[in-house]
Amino acid sequence: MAALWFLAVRGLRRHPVRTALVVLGLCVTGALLLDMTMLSGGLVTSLGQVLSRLGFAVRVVPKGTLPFSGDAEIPDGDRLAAAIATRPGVTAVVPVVATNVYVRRGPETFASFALGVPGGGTGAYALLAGRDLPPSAAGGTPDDEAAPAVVNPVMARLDGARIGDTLVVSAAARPALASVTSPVRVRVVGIADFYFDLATQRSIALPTADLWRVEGSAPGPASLILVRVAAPARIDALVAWIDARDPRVDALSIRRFLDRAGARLTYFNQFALILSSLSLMVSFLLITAIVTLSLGERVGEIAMLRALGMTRSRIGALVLLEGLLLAAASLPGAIGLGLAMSGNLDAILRSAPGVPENLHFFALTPGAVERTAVLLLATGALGGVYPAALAARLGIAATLHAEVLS
Amino acid sequence: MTIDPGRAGDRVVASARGIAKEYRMPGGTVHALRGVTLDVERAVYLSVVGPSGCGKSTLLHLLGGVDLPSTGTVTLLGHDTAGLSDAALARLRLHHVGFVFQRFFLLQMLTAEENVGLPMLEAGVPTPERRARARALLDRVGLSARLDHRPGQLSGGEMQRVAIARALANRPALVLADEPTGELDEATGREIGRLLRSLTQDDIAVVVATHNPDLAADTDRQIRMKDGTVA
Repeated sequence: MAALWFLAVRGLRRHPVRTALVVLGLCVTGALLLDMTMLSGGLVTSLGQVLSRLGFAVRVVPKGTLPFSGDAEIPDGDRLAAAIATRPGVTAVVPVVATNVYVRRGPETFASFALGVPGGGTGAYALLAGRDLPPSAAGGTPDDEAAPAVVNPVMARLDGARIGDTLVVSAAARPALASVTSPVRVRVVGIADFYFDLATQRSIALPTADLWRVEGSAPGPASLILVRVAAPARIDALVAWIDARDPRVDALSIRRFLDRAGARLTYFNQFALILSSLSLMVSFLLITAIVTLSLGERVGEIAMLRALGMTRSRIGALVLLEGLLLAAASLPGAIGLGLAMSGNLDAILRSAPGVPENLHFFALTPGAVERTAVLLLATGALGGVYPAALAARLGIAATLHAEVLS
Repeated sequence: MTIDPGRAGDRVVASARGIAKEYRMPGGTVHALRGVTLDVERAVYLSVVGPSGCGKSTLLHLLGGVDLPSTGTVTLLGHDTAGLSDAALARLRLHHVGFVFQRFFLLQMLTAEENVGLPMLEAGVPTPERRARARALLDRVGLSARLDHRPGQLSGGEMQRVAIARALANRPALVLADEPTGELDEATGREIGRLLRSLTQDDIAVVVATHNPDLAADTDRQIRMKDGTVA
C-alpha cells in the first residue's frame, strides 16, 4: 500500500495548480453538501437541543397537536396533571395555559402571548432579571392587588416595560369587547427568556388563576402539561400510561416530539436531498473528469509501471486512490467554507417571520460532519472508478508501442 | 506466486519455442512474429536487430512477460508465461525482469533516487535498504551527484542511466532494453552500451532490441530479424 500512497500523493503534486483548482471546486461542492446535511435535520436537532436544555422529559398536549401550535386545550388539564404527579419517578408537573392577550401600558395597548403557570420556579422560562413569580399562586391574586408578572425582553425593549411597572392584561383590545372578561392589573416583577419567542414577539407570564380570570374561563383547562422525570428509564412507561389513561391527549417524550416535528418539516429534507444530490453529482463528475484527463496524459507511465511489476488491480487501486485523495484534500476546506456559509444562510432564514429566536435551521453535529466526510470520500472513490477501469485494462505492449510511435 | 529458486537458478533465463504473435486490426491480421525459437542464457549480452516493424519489440515484450504469444511457448525462469495469472506474471516481472525503454519513462515528479527505488518500493523493500540500494545503483551508473535531481533536470543520457539503474533495482536475472540508444547521440549511446554490457558481470542476461549497429556489434550474440522471423 505504501507504493500506492506514495505514487498517488506525488501524482497529484505533478500539476499543483490544476490539483489546487480541482480541490477548490470540491471545497465548494463539499461545503454545499455539509450545509444541506446540516439543514436536513437542523431544525429538529436545534429543537431537540432546546428541549433537552429545559429539562422536561414529557409534554402532554391535546391529541394530534404540538405545544402552542393552536388553540386546542386539555379540558381538565389540572386534574390530569395531579394524576401524573402521583406516577413513579415524576418529580414535577407543570400545567401551562397559553393564550393571546392584550397588554396596556399607559395609553399604549399591544398584543402579546401570555403564559399561565402555577407559580415561579417551574422552568417554563428562564429568568434574566428581577424576581420570579411567587412559588405557588394557585388561588390567584386578590382583586385589589396587582398580580405578579414576568415579561420577555422584547416587551421591555419595545414597550419600555420595566420591573415595578404596572400593566393591564385583557382578553380584548377594546374595553367594549371586554365585557365578559376581566382585565387584570399586573406588576412586572421580572424579565425572562421564553425560549420559543419569535424575534419581535411580546410575551408575559402570570399565575394560571389570574390568566383564567383574564380569559373569563372556568378553572381547569391547560394548553400543555410539562413533566419532569427523575429516571430516564421510566419515561416510556409514563408516556404509555398517559396515552392509555386519556385518549384525548398525546404524551410526547422528546424523541416523539422531535419525530412529530420532523414529520412536519419534510420539505426541508426534500430541499436538502435535492441540493445534496446535485453537489455529489458535480463532485463525482469533477473527479472523474480530472482523473481521466490525467490518466490520458500518462498512459506510457502506467504501462511502464505494469511492465515493472504492478498488477492490474494495483494500477486500478492507484487511480482510485487519486480520486479519493482529491476528495480527502478538499475536506478541511469544505467543512470550513460550509460552516461559514451555514452561518450566513442561518441568519437569512432566521430573519424570516415566524421563526422562534432559539431555533436554528443549520445544526452542526458530529453526525453531519461525519456524513459529509463519508459521502465526499465515497464520491471521490466512485469518481476514480471509470479511469481506474481504463488504467487496469491498458495493454502494456500496445501502449508502449503507441507511446514510442507518438 | 513465489518463484521456485531452483528453477530460477537454471542457466536459461528465458526461452521461446515456435512463438508467433498476431494482432487483429481493422484492415486484417498483422503477423508480428512467426515461429521464433530462442534461448537466453544467464550473463549473455544479446542483441535483436532488424528493420522497423520486423518484430524486435514484440519479441522483447513476449520474453519479458508483458504480452503473451498467440501460439508457441515462452518460458521465463522456468515458468510458462501463458499459464500464469496477471498477478503472478507481474510478480515474476517485478522480481526477475528489468526493462529499459527508448523513452525512459521516468516519473517526472520523482527524483532520480525515487525513480530507482520505485520497483523496490513495490516489492516491499524496507526504506533504509531501498535508499541504500538506490544510491549504490546510481553510483554504479555514475550519477551519485544527481540523486535529488528530477528527470527534467537530467540530460537524455543521464535519464537512460537512471532507467538502467531502475531496471536493476530488484536484482533481476534478465534485463530487456528496447532501443535504449534510440533517443541519444552517438557518444552517449556508446556509454549506455558499455553500461549494459557491464551488467553481464553480475550474471544478468541482457537483451537489446536496436537499430544501432555499433551497439549490436558490441554484443555477444546478434539475432537478425525480418518480417517476424529470425533471419
